[in-house]
Amino acid sequence: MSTETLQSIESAIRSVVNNQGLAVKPESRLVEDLGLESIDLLDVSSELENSLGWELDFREVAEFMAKQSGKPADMKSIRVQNLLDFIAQKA
Amino acid sequence: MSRVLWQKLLMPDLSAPPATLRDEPYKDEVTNTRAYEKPSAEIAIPDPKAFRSMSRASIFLAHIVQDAKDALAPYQAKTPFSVGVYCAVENGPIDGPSTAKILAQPDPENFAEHYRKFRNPKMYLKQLPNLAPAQTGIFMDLRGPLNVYTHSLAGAWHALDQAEWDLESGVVDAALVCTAHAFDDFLVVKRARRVDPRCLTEGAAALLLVKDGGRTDWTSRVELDPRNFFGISDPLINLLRRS
Repeated sequence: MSTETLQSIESAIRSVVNNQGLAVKPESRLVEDLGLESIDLLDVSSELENSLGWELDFREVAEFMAKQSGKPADMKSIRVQNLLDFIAQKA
Repeated sequence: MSRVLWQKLLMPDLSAPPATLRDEPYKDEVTNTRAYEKPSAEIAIPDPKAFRSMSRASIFLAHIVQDAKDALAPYQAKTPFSVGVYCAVENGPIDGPSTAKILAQPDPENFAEHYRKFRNPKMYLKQLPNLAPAQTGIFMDLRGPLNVYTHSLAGAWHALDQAEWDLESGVVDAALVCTAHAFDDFLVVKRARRVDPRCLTEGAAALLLVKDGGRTDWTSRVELDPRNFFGISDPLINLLRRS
């Protein structure tokens, strides 16, 4: 499940930034490391919906991170690993 | 008169045989067309990440105008607000496959939800004609007036005329007049075919004009091609082909 999900996330991000060679690692930050902007997050969500079957809301991911860590979190601080954790607990 | 400081043209190989353009969602075709050889994804643009929000016409524009960097530099050094953009371009694409999926849903009362689910959020941006020159303006850091003309036959003339007017009246120091015609929207292609029987051909043109005396009668300088029709871009492309 995790490998498949990681592949779906990689594929979605690479399509959105139009760079098939982009290194997408669990520790990569979506905004700072992968260069995604707010509209790109919407685009990633739309791409992921095709494989997940449900709409991923990045605000919920940030809230999930804040709950887990006990520290404030925003969309800028989301890493690929956070997406994997969020999707795993939703499944 | 204005003076052409820089110019660039993009066209397919005009000796290649014409082809038939087919559109699956509309289940229709237009004969006697000639597309630019390269797929959109293979055309170099200044920021590849913007690709998903760019129509093919926008990609054509961004591709040719990036070569104007040196010619634009002295004007941008003064102020980026001194260069205006005057662009003739038509609508970008409406995503046929996703529209078909939306319309095929059994519960049309949930249209908004189906639209969100099946439509890429950047697809809407592609449809907007004024986004094409705006994207080029962002890439090139052009912050002067941005004018977009969509009249399918006269748009390029309108762009040239407004550029002349703004140069003459001192609104801008330099005018980037540009146009692109791509097979983005099948309905636009069909309309172009109705108004002109010549081989409907993709292409783009851009020129940087600066003030040099009075106004120029551009119409007397254009010689139309008897075999090829470049849609909204026809006058500008033929102007550059001759010069």
